[in-house]
Amino acid sequence: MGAATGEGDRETLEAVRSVVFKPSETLDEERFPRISGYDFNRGVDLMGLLRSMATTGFQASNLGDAIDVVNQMLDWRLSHEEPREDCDTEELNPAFRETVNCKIFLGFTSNLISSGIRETIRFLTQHRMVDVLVTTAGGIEEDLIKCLAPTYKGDFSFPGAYLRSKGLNRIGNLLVPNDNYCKFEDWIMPILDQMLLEQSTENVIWTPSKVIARLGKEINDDSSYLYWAYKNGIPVFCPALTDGSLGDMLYCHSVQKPGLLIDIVQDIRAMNGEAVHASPRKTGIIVLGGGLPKHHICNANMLRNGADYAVYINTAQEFDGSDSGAQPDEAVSWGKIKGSAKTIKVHCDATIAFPLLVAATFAQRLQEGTSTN
Amino acid sequence: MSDEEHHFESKADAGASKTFPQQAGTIRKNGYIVIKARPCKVVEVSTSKTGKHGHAKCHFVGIDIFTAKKLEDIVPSSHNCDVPHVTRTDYQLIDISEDGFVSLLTESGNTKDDLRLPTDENLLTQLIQDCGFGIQNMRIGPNLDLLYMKHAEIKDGFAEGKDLVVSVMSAMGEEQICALKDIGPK
Repeated sequence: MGAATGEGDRETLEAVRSVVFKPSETLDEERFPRISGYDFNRGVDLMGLLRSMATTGFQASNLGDAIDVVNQMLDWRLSHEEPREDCDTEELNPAFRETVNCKIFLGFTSNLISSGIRETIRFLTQHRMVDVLVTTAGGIEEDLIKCLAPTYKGDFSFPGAYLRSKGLNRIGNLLVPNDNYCKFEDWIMPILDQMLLEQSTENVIWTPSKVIARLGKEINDDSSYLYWAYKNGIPVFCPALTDGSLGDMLYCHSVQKPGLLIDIVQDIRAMNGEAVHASPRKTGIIVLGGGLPKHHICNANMLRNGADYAVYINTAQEFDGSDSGAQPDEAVSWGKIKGSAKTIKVHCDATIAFPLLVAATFAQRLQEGTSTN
Repeated sequence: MSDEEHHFESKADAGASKTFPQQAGTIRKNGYIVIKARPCKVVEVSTSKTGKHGHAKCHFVGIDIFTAKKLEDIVPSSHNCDVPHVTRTDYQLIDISEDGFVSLLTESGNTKDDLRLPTDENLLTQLIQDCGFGIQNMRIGPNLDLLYMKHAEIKDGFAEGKDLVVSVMSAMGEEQICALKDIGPK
């Protein structure tokens, strides 16, 4: 009796074991790296810390992957590819092929320019590390205003009515005094007068990107990313130029002095042209935040059958069907990103993720003296 | 220099400013304001407090007192605007010529002949109503000049011997008849 029960128990145990303890496949560590975080016993080493992101897990791993994708953008040369069938002789020249690199589109929302990410973007335009910028109106004016008066650190919890009574405007946990915008108005009105004059006497046709280049020229301050974008010939596109203080200025200016025209059709030609005529260069997308900048860049790349690299850094979610929250694979369905592209989305506030990304890629190369052009 | 020295200016060339400056923030509805060099009556004022759009601003909607056109302006509240001197003067109506010119008796006993009956239909209708002329039920054919008809009505009324006084509005070097009054016995 005892022996039979023992046999039954053992069988049951075996059955349970085989269900619960399914023998695992050995994981190939090439495809599935071991998780291992940074060891601070090595000291406080920025590059070491950044290199460890990829194996730390969760969004740190996504950031590590983003670093990898951006490095691929920066490393790629036409010489890595087989020559195209119908290319001209210059394109066959190896020395020329060595110089052809990836065209990088950088997009970001206005709040990031209100934040210290403005300095990171200024670094990138100062050293010609990106080819095309896309942002919203605030992304233009906040950069210019910071040359006239500073933005301050506040708190998300400051009560709105109290702030209004003190003439303080809140952007998240930042504060921008009304007086800053008054200074902006005083600075920009004469420039708008001049632009109107040039339109009527010199037949200048203004577009948002031309207006922005002019403002970058006028601010003439090397803390401004627009100044460097102007100086280095990097176009900045902003089809919704009126949706900010700039728009308020245009509105008030046009009541007194009507007639200024700003042509968005010419700019969509230019923006889409940047993508369409990029070949034989590959294209890469780096976009911080969602909204207009994200879509505008992806849409332009659709016209060249998709970008080759894409890095999204934003906190938006896809469950509501928003374009802001859409992951790179959704863009693949539209042809905005190639099916074969290297893509990653980092679910993180860009004020944390982007400086780290730039440190590990663009800035690191500058420090090493490696050319990124 | 004698402190008895008088400086005579002819009235016509007073050089007196046709406008005077006033801070935008103090101009109220039903006041007057110059917009794009036109004298206007203010029909709407709204202010935007200092903010993202810059300095505090006054938004004015004005009606040109001579052409009745709507004009808009946005002025920082601390800036000065020009306000026109608007005057109304009454003159006795002496005569109306065939082509609509009126002859008026000034206070000094001279005649003033440089004004015409207005050409604006609404204003003309108002003038006719002002001085109590009946608005006849005229059937106006498509080829008839309504302006001529209205001018004719005024002339007929005048010809009937009514005592008419003409109010002339004047601002920024422009004048226009703005009202007609019958001061005769009823």
